[in-house]
Amino acid sequence: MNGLARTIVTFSIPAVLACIYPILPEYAKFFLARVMILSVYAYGYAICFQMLGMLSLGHAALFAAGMYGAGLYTIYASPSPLSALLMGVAAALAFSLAMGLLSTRVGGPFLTITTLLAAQALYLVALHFNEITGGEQGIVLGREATLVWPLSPWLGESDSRYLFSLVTLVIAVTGVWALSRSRLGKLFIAVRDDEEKLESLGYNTATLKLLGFALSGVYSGTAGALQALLYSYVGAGYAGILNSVEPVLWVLVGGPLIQVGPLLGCMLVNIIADLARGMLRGHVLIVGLGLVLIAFAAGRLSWAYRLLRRSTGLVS
Amino acid sequence: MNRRKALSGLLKTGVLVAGAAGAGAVAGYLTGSVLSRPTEVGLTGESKPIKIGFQVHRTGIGAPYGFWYERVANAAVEYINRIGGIAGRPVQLIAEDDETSPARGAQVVERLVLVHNVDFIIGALFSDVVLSSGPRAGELKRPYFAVSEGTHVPFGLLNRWCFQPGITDVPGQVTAIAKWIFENLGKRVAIIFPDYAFGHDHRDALTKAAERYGARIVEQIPIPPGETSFTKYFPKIPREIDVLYHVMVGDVLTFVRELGVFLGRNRPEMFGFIDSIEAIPLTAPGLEFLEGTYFWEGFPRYLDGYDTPYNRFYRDVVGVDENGADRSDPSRVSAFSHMFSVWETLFVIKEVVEQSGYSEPNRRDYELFVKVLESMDWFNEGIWHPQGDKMFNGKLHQSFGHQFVSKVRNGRLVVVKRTEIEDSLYEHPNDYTAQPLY
Repeated sequence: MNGLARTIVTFSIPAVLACIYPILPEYAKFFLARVMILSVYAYGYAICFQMLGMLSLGHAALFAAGMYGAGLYTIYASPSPLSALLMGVAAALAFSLAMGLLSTRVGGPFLTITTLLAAQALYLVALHFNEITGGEQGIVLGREATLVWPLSPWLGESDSRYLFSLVTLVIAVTGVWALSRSRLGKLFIAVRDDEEKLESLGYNTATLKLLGFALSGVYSGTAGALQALLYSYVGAGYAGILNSVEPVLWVLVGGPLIQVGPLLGCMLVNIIADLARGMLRGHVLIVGLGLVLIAFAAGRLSWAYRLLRRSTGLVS
Repeated sequence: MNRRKALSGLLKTGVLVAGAAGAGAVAGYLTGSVLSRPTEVGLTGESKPIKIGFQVHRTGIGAPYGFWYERVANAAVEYINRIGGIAGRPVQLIAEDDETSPARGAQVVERLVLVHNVDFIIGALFSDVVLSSGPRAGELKRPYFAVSEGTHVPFGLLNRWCFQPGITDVPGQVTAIAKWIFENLGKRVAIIFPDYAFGHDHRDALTKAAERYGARIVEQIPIPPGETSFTKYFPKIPREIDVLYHVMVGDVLTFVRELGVFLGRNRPEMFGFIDSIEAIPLTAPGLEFLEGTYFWEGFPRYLDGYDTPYNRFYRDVVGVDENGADRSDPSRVSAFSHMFSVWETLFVIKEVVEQSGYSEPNRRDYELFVKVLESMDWFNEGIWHPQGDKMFNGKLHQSFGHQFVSKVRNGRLVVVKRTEIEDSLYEHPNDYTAQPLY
């Protein structure tokens, strides 16, 4: 696919999401707004996993860092949603730098384990300081602290939520699109494909990996902060392991084109899970089955196979 | 064509078919057709049914409770339909699994309102699910009935659309039984509690009650969540106490066994909340140490603890025997102290719909409904309220009822005290009626 076609494909889904808004049934508006936020998270995960080949199982912590950064700011500092959003992103950036410093030094399965443990640590910290964080039970944010509040005189809550999610998604997609065309993006992919060769050419791959991890953290944290500021709830449930595993599936289902894959995968998995609700007990089953299927099919699907082999070194 | 090529061709076809199916699913989804149909119980009579959405913990950590909550809900709806439904209309229960997860719980509220257009929602037990769902219900303008005994409803953490008329909240429960503890077991108390909101509610309410009745909390021992062994915390239990108050610190079998080893025969009086052993048979190995200790019960597990015709009727309809276990499987103990909240909440909805003349999910009808519910101040004991009469506080959106104190005797629970409603009452400045409804 040439550059122009790729660009058109990249922006077509957000364009469609914008165009169909007026004809959407009410529930689809709510549902898609939710999925768009999750897609931003999926893009963040794809930068780490798909571009740099780092299979992290701790991204829920980055999502949660953004969520807590934003949510706790509105509760303890000021109920101003825009500065809370910035605080959330800053918190996620700081946490991803710390987590990246620890985990990108090691590769393959060691990185997976380190990120998993780091995320578990954040989860336990959130539980431990539950007088501040609300722990497992969580905290409800005031309505004035939500991003939709300032718009409420003009737009309904669901309309403004859709708008916020769409704008964020477009920014996220543009970012990934620009990254994939840039030198930096190509270096990221080079790290994934042959780290040693890149190093021998004089590049500092450790810095590149850290940079990629931090960028991934900013995306994930933005999604987490928006989750808090659009749905007025913050809780440790979002820092749990399931929230780390789901983006793996989204990215693998989405396919090899990083500009659209995470969005497609996230939408598809969530729609299937939503349709299956009522027929099956719990969507966790869908996530699990999806991952098992992909693991089995990985040998056949050359793209997923290569990605898994490079990021874990385990598939042979 | 060699084998590899054939396979790749097959794969490509497969991918195409999958892609087409996916696109079809998306298209179908977006045009609003919803394939999935959740469990629906009820009559399909001539008049339009009243739809009650039910957010149920079918999977996840709350599943043992969810199983019983759903059974009670189904039984109640069946009974309501048998006696003519609500305001002459059949009731349809629409249950969806929230996976005991705050993220899914919020989504279930959206589905129940926007896909199924339910008239009311019976909410969850676990506090995180209630807290993430409440704001959604408030935004979508649909009455949400929590059955969680948490403080989030009465203390004003949620909004005017959230109610808890089916069960007394934790501070109410603690306030009531604290008086009995101080009068009967002693005034020097150590409390061992889980270090999160639920445990803090217990600690705070007990501390307040101690001030009120001149008792003293000698030591507070918080247990971090996720702890698997408790012995290292036991040396903090002071020697000179009268009562050790414990609640839900973690795996109860381990906790009780380790406590037994540590305290031995010279234990102080012990008082616990049934939540730790809810749905667990008292004959479970390791629980012998609980013999002679006391428990709060919301509704006594054994029929002889509170033998009324209403209680018998309720057990009969739900399928629970005299020992609080499943009639068809006596080893399956029910969540008897909590699950009545679902039953009673459904009848509160019935009563308020009939008194307010509610008929459609629109602004006028909801304004009437909420107004009538907020003006309620009493629910009489009977089939509709088998656990006992209740006082309802319209400002706090919270009910206050009788509590039970039971002693473990010969491996069963024997009720020794039924508290008065007044014992549960406390002061709180929250006033939901001051919030605008729309």
